[in-house]
Amino acid sequence: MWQVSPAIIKRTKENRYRFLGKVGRVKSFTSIAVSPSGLKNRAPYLVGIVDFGKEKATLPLADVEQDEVKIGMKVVGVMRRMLEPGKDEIIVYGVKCVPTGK
Amino acid sequence: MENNGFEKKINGNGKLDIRILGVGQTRFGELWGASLIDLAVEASREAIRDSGTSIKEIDAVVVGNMLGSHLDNQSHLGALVTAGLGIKASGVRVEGACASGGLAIATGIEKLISGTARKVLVVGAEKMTDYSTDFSTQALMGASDGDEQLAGITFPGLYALVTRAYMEEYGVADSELASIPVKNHMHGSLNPKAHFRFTIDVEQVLKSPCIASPIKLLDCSPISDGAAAVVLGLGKRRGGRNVRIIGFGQGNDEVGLASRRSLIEFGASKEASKKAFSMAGVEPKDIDVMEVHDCFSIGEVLALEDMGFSRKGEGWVIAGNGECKLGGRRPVNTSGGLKACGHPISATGVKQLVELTRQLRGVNGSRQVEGARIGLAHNVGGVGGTAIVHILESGI
Repeated sequence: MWQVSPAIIKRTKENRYRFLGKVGRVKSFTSIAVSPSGLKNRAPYLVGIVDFGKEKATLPLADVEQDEVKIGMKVVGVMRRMLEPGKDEIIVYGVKCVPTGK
Repeated sequence: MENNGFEKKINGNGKLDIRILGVGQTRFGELWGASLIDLAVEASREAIRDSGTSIKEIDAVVVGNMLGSHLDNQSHLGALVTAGLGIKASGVRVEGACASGGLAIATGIEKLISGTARKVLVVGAEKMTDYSTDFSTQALMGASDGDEQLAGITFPGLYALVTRAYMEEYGVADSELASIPVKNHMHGSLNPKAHFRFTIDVEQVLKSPCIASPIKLLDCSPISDGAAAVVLGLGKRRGGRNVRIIGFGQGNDEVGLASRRSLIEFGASKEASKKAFSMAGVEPKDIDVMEVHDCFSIGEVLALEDMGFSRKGEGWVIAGNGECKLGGRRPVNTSGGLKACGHPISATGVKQLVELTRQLRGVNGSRQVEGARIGLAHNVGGVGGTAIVHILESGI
């Protein structure tokens, strides 16, 4: 997924944004210490499984430290940069989840 | 599951009876002097020699491999291996992520049952150490779905999500799970072909660096090179005790962990084992020795629970209390498992049958389980997208 073509980026756009603005609860999470080549400079970063009711999804967690994350915590989907530009200089945006009181 | 009629073609008793005529395995480890094809050929030649069959009698070769096209840019492995062996047999590659080896075995069985082949060589091979860890980490994400890859989850990360959910649900500490790699390293220290032949203790596991919390380095099977091979046929093996495959079953599930009903069980393992037990006509209590998919410590726990060897939430108890250790009630992963024997991805599923065959022939030396008669191999692809189970029996 690291050198995604513009065609793939366009085709998956709707899918990438489907949790934008949606509120869900964290079912599990992990802090990735050893990252793949494409995300080498980002580690450590948090990823969780978030339950939105009708559907669960695996999404990065942002704006939060590992010791602040609790299973059952409420989070909301926000638009964030997912992948850095590749050779074609396209930045891929998508959804990450941040803590919410609501 | 009913006898579909196909078993009657194999054996007059109406039961599956696939003979394991020969087994072979390379050392697992960082084998920089050997290419993917070198490894496949080495294991294959050993299995063919062990079978006492002439290489010319092999009419089909099934190659299990996951990363050859990604890491080595080799996408024609069936033909590459038959050419490497210098034989005229048909060759095909089978893939199912980390279950590629087990699926290759099942494919070999299916060729025999269909009557299109009389002697099948199945070889699982993987070459992983030519490249950096983070390049392999990236390649291994191919076992997950698109959403998971976009989230940057990594393969250990997926199992970390399962581990944390399990620990939370059943109140299990990571020190309990740490006894599993300790046990498997003890077994591996007895295996000259294992990647790691040193013992470890719980404290070392807990102090090892975090890979994806709560999974630590010593909870993770390594990145290894290696190959394992078996020769399968319908007739008897000349000399020595015969070992037969009497049942097998495959299950599949959503690849994406988030799409599952539960994060802490693998429906694919449940389905695969149910089918295998039914075909073999045996139950968990009949199994004397097992090789299960401990890609990460939690993998062994779920294997025991999903296949009915323990109650839900208690797999970690028997995995750590000595029952599953050599000398215990039902030894698990006497090869050292994926953790200590190593995990050249597609070699694993075939290696499991190599180890079980040695157990059931009574030739496994210091790793021998006395009186082992029925064995089970459990091989999983990804974080439970695929599972394949084989049941073996020693016989005349």
